[in-house]
Amino acid sequence: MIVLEGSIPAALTSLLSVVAGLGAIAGALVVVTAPRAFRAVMGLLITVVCLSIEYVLLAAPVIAFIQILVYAGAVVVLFLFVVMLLDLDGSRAESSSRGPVRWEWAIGGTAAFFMIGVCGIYYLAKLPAPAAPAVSEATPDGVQAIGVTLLRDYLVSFEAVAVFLLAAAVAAIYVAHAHGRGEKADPAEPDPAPEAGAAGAAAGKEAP
Amino acid sequence: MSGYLALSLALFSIGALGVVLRRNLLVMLISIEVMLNAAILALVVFSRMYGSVDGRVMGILAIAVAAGEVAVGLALVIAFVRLRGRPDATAMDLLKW
Repeated sequence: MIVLEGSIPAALTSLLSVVAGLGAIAGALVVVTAPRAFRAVMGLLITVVCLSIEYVLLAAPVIAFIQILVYAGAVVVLFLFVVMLLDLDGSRAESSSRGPVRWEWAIGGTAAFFMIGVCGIYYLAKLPAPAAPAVSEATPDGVQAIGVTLLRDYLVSFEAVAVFLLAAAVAAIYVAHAHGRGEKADPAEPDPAPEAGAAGAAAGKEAP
Repeated sequence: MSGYLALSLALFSIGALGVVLRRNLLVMLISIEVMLNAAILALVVFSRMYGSVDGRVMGILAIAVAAGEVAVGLALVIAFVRLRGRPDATAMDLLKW
């Protein structure tokens, strides 16, 4: 696997980490400010890829690999499927009325949170350095250590996550499935597309 | 290491701002994903800082939980759009009376 120490100059890695960090922040800003949902998904993709670069620089290539596999491979694609299926891009996606939260309060509160966090990081940096900063034990990136820890110390969490994923899959199918609309309208009618389904559901709600 | 923690903090703040300010349900979900990514970055940074693999293991578990959360959240968005025709969070008043 990747051993960064020694193979790449330290100045290059620090420069790469700064560039990737700025890219991650830029992607997050795109997510928040994008007028269309598609661009927000692309911003999430930028953030995910830049963060996986940071994980490689933090000597955690396993996390970087899983990040690309799960986030860029599954989560972003799932978001794109929903954007394409539901046609969420458009002027009707977001109403122009004021939301429940005023933006001055939101920005002020987030800035206060950020300042408190900066104070916490400053305090943490003042603390004496931890005892053993070398994480690499058996293998260069600690894959073996991660596997042993995951399946020994965190076995209960591991199994709980397995059950949780099964429950989440069943719940997603149940929630997204169109319940009972076929019986009320016309049993012979085939299941309509999500676009027609939305209109049909709204009409069915108001008709009786 | 402080720089990585600051990056995590900044990403979390931007994501929280997106959840609070945006009213498109899908964009709110994506902002939650950004916040989750910030939390996982903090876990990995602390794992590196304290020389322990526990943070990375928790990061792997957090990524798995995030995948399940996305599946359920997107299913809820689809169900809501079927009901109301638009993914607007201000139109969510089914439990109000």
